[in-house]
Amino acid sequence: MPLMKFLKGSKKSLDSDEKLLLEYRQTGDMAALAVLYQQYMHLVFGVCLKYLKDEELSKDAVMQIFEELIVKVTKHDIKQFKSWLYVLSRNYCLMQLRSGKKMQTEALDEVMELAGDLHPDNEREEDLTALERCKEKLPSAQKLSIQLFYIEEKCYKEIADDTGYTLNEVKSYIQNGKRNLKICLEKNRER
Amino acid sequence: MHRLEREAQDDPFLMDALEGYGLSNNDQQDNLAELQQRLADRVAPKKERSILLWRVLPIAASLLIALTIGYMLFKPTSDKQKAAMPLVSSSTPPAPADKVNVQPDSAKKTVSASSILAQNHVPVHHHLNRPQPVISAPENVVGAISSIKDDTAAYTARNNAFYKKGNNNAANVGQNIQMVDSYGDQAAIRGGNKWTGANKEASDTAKTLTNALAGRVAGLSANKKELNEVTIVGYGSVQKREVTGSVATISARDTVAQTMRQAKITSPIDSTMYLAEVVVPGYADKAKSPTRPADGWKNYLAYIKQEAVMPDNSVGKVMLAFKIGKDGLIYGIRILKGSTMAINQKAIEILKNGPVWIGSSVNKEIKLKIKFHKGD
Repeated sequence: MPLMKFLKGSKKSLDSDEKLLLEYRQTGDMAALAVLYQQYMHLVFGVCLKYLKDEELSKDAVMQIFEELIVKVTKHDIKQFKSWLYVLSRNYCLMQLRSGKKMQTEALDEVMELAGDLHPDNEREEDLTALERCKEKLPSAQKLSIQLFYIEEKCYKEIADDTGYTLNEVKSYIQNGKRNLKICLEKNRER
Repeated sequence: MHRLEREAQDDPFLMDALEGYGLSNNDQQDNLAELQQRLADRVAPKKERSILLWRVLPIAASLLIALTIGYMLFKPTSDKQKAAMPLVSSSTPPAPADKVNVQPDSAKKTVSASSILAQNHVPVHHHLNRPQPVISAPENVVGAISSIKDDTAAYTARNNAFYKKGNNNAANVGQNIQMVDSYGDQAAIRGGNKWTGANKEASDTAKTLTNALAGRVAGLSANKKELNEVTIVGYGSVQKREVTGSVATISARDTVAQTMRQAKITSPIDSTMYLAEVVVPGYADKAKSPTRPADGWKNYLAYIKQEAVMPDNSVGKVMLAFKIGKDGLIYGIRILKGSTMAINQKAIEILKNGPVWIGSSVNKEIKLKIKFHKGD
């Protein structure tokens, strides 16, 4: 499946990101920046597609974002390249839309955390039982969606088909379910 | 797919991207490949140089060609001039025609020796090639000009058949010279040209010029100043609005044709729309001139047009200059530029036999161009 390239070990690439950034900052060699960008170009393209909806426009946008990147990389101190790039791309797309319609942009300095990094992997046993208990407490739609998605590893589409919920509903249930579980677990830990 | 979605749960960037791809059913592989290429092109360093080179080469080439042409134009004159000079000074046979030829021919030749060509204004350049005997200012300025071509020598020689040498008509010449712009005189003498370097040649030229002019052209005193720096003043490519005795307005077209044809004398110019054209110096609009045909310009020109047919239907153009006295009589007719003997003759007759003129105290020379055409 062509999209498999999307799956990456997140830690590994983040380190190399740092290295490439540093290299560009030191040598000014654009090739380093290009390598870095290429790793995320498919994501940038996808985001542009989502907002701009047009393939040609999106392609141009990807190149334009690269130009902005060149300028901004030297100006800003970037902690997490991937998230920073995400915000950059999204803002660019929103700006493009705004010149067509009128829409709000989001602050560029928002730093978004990648959940993958932050979850500590210890205390598993306890968490699992707590998790089970919390899950039981969820509203049924959320519980079902979480079950089908995480446990049974089904795609959104499949879940939608099985449950009769719309795709957006499925996503929404999963999202809200996750949030509730998180709250519940935290409460659990406090005890 | 599930795996992606799973990962997207934790990665908003991925989440958005997946949504984007989900919007269309097309496979985006080609687009992604294209983007890879564009990025690579964008970052590639070397191309800039070769692009620069591409731009520089044609410019350099054209420069080189221009220089070569310039050099070629420059060079031959110094050789030819020596040949031309003796030719001109020895060509004194007086001709039976009653037109005036003034020395400027030789003046022209000698002065033009200076390889000033390339630096002259084009219009000036053109003037040289005219076989004109005229004394009017630009003609003298012409002296300062361009390439001497052997043609010109032949040209002059041939025209000598029409024109008398200036000696006899010094009076006329003197008269005519007076109305010339003063700078015109100077220009002729000095060889009107901006020229740095090769001063020796310039002063030699000045000497020969003075010799050539000495005693030949009344009213012109040779200025023995060294040719160090000479400028043509006021003779740009903009034509004068007020015609003060110069041929500027009329002859421009002729001279252009001249240079194009290199000593072909009969050079009908297609651009002339009028079969007769009159210029009254000092009056851009001849209707305001006090000196005019008694019956009006319109009728006069109509008469000319009607008469300008040869019995043998030959065509040609004649430029005449003449004056109208206070009594309205025509005098001082001369041919500035002629066609065949027969046509010139006829032109003069047309003028003489034409409608009467009203004279005035202003006695400037009027120029008339008659274009002979085939009869109906």
